[in-house]
Amino acid sequence: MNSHEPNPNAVHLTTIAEPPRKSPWSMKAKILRLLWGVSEILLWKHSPVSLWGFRRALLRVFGAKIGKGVRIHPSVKVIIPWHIDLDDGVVVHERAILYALGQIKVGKNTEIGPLAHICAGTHDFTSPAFTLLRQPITIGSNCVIGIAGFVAPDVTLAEGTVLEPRCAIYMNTDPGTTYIGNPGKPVAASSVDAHVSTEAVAS
Amino acid sequence: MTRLCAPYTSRGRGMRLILWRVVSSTVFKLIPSPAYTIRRAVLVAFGAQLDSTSRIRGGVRISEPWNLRMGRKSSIGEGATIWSHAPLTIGSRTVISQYCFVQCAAREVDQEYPKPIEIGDDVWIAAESVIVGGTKVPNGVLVGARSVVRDAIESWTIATGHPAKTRRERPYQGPKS
Repeated sequence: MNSHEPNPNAVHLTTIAEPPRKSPWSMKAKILRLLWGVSEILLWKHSPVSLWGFRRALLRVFGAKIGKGVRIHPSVKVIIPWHIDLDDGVVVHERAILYALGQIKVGKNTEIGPLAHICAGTHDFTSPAFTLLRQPITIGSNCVIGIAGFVAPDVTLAEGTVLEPRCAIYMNTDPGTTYIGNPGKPVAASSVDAHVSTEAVAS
Repeated sequence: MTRLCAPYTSRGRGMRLILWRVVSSTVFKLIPSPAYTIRRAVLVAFGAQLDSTSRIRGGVRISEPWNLRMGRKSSIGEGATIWSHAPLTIGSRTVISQYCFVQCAAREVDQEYPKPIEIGDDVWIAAESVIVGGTKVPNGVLVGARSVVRDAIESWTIATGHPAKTRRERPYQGPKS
């Protein structure tokens, strides 16, 4: 075989395996994300912990829907604020990550624990283009996401779901059920009424 | 005395390591996340072998960049921690997602020692996974979010959990390298 002759199969393979890189973000989104990134460094990160109202206002400026009495710690990482919708009394603890590439909707009096990762973004792993998918996450009311819980994209947590510490959940959950482990599995039914203490923390 | 939690310390503490520790904790941290070219240039200056199409996002911590090799169109996501105490090879079109932990070291009872990691082509290591030293991640593997990779995985499969186990074959419409 003549080595100077290009191998048509090889060229074909390269073009399929490496489709051109296209940014999934529009120019407007890029500029807004840059603005949020700057305000996050200047205003959010170093704001005193007790200024809950200030951080609520800051998120609202960036288009987030924030209910009454929502408490978000300054060490929380919010990727895109205009994709989050937190209902009344939601608490987000230290160093939690709201990876809101898609919409993240959280119901009343839900508590998101420290180091939790709510990951509303994935890729289409079946295609070589590896397209970014921005899938929503819906978390019901009176849920508790324990320390370092992980919620995968396109998941709905039903009302009163409890995730034990370090639980990683990839499927929709049943109401009032406690989940444990990675991948998360139900432990036993827990009643929604048992989480009155959550409301006490949130108020 | 046996120190069970002794941190890994690099042998041969050359000027390069000291300089990198200074640079990585100051200037390198301040490079904005989308400025891939600048970050790549700094890492290449410290001996990393990075393809010009590879991308490393902001907040990534790399302990020893001279051990890092990255292929075409690979990327490392935001806030990942790369402990490259031993050679770390990342193939082409591979994605290491945000907050992953690649630890090129393994631990025996009383000491930690460097162990290389090889990550193949078309691999996706999803968010917050841990890759333990000495493992080989073959081509086309999908490691689910929050997994811990310790054992051998077959190529073109989906592995999840702690420890990561092969769950099923990965559906893929394209040429498998």
